[in-house]
Amino acid sequence: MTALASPERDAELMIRVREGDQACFGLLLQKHRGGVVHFLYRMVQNQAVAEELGQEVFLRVYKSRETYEPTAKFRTWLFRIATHVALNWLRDARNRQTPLSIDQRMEEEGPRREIPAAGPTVEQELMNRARLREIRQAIDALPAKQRAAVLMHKYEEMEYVQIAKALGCSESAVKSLLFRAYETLRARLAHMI
Amino acid sequence: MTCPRKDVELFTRRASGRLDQAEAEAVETHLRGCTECRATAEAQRAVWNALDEWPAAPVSDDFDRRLMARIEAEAATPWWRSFSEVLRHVSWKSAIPVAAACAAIFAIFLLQSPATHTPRQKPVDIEQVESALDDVDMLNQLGAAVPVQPSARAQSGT
Repeated sequence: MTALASPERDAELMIRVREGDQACFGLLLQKHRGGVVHFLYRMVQNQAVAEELGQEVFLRVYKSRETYEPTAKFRTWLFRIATHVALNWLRDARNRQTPLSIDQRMEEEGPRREIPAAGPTVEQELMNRARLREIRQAIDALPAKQRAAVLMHKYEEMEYVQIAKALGCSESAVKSLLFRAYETLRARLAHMI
Repeated sequence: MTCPRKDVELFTRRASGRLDQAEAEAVETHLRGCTECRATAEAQRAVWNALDEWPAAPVSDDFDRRLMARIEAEAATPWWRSFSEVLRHVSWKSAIPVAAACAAIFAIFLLQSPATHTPRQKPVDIEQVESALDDVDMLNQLGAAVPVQPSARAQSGT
């Protein structure tokens, strides 16, 4: 399984997909499905939409197999597609007449921590939920590109150069996006940290 | 006063544990002596840790099955249906300014091009002009020699 972790291995798998090996597409899907859907979930803050967009991302990957050239890391290329899909969805969502508020989205879905028998009290759990709501609202309030940069940096542990390629901008632009995003988050979450 | 060594990007890397040993030691040494930077660095670390509190939901078990079904369905779809599907997703709202710009460019092209559509005049042949003038002279002389018919006079009213 260690060989699977290397980026070169991903490119190799993709080349085999290009040659018609469906099983290799399954391996790529297995490895990257979680990261892509989690990223999309945090971008759009709705699990059903995130999975729908995740399907779109992998469908595009599959359709691009004929023209795929391993010039960039597969994962960076994958997140470039995912970012594009998410930003398009957010742009279209702005034009929709009745966008869901973050509260509605949180009510509709979202992972809720089960309260174990010996776990936190109800009061503590309510406080945890309130904190989580504030964090989600703070992320949701960031401009879409800043949000994408923070999510790739924080949760996907991507380097500046990879984020730059995924966003289609320079490395210094990524540093600037992250600087502004973390400044905003520090200000918004100052009361709870 | 702002510390000249205050580097939020460095503090973010510190919070994420991405500093190498030499960088980490230098930062920690500075933070021990600088209250302002220490406050910023700790706030940055707190934000970083707070973001860890947001878990992502597991992906549905049938994600792969649904994807494979979509891939098979796409493969079975005739090209014209795929094309109409693409058109369905095109944002016509954003296409309107593009269409207007194309129409404006076409109109400018039409306004500027009539000269190219008029038939070109052939260059004047000087011999042909001389010959025509000779013919006019000859006709004038003939006109003077031939008496005008009375009916023609009546018609002209003279």
